[in-house]
Amino acid sequence: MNSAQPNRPDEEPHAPAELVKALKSMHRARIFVPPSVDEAVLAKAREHLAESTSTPGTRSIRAALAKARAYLAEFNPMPFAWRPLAPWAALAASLAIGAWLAHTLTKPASNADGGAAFAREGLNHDGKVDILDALVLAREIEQGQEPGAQLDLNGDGVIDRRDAEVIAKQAVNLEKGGRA
Amino acid sequence: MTGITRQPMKAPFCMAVGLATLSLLVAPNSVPLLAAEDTAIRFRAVDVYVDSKEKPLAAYQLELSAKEGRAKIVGIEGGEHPAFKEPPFYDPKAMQQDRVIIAAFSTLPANKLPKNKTRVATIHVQSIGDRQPEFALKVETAGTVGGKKIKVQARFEERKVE
Repeated sequence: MNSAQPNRPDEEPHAPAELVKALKSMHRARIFVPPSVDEAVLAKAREHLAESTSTPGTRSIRAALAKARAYLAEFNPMPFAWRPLAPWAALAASLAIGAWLAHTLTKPASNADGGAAFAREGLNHDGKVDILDALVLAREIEQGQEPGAQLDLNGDGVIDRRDAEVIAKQAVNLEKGGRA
Repeated sequence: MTGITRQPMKAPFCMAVGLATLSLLVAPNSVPLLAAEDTAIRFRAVDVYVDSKEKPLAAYQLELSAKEGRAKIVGIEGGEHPAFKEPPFYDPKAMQQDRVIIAAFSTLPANKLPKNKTRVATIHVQSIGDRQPEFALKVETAGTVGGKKIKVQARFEERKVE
């Protein structure tokens, strides 16, 4: 190691005296650089760097971000902390999802008796499906009349009192449309 | 500093309360809302009458509802006359709700059907608090023998507790 750097920084170099003298004299003569040259070099450097690192798009984004930073610094002296909100947000989201699931799962199923059939039950032709239609069908069945096959409302192949009951159940349905 | 200052704990609290309230509105059937002042539960029986005057009553269809949702339907039984002794038809979904449509028909001959005022059903309700629940009763339709439509009057009376 010492062979590569034989002199310590505070020691005079072990070199010929002429060489040492010539080297020292180089730093005595100061070259004057006018400030206008400094400014010109600096301006050129800035221009060069701006052209090489940004496009018009990125410049406008930078400007917008700078404005946003300035706005936040003015109106939001305390930085908004999002992390403490996370448990609350999770709790609220789980409550909402739970309520939605409960509502969806407890929603009653559609009429099991088959809604498509109910357009046929305006037996007394008053435009409404009500208990009077059930009464009319029940009476026809009891009197031995043969109602049309379309009144096999429960689809069991037989037209009997149970078909009249299908109409009655439709009449009291809380979600009924009401019109035949 | 006179500028706007933010209080971090208010925002999550308001958000949670708001979403919880929204959840209750979205699913009113799944979470009962109870009045804070009085939550005592009482059971009441409401007799429903139909008056068909001189015409034999062969069928009726009525809608009973509790105003302001202060009562829930918990049971339905039939009437006093043999023609309507069986419980009427009703939508099972009406249970635990404040509205029900009841209906019944009879194919008995005219001389075996009720005339004038007759109790056709009794509806058992559960009310919350001391306030008397108010009911509304509406005749949807009524008929006599053969299914001919007739005009009837319907009324209800809350059964006295003995």
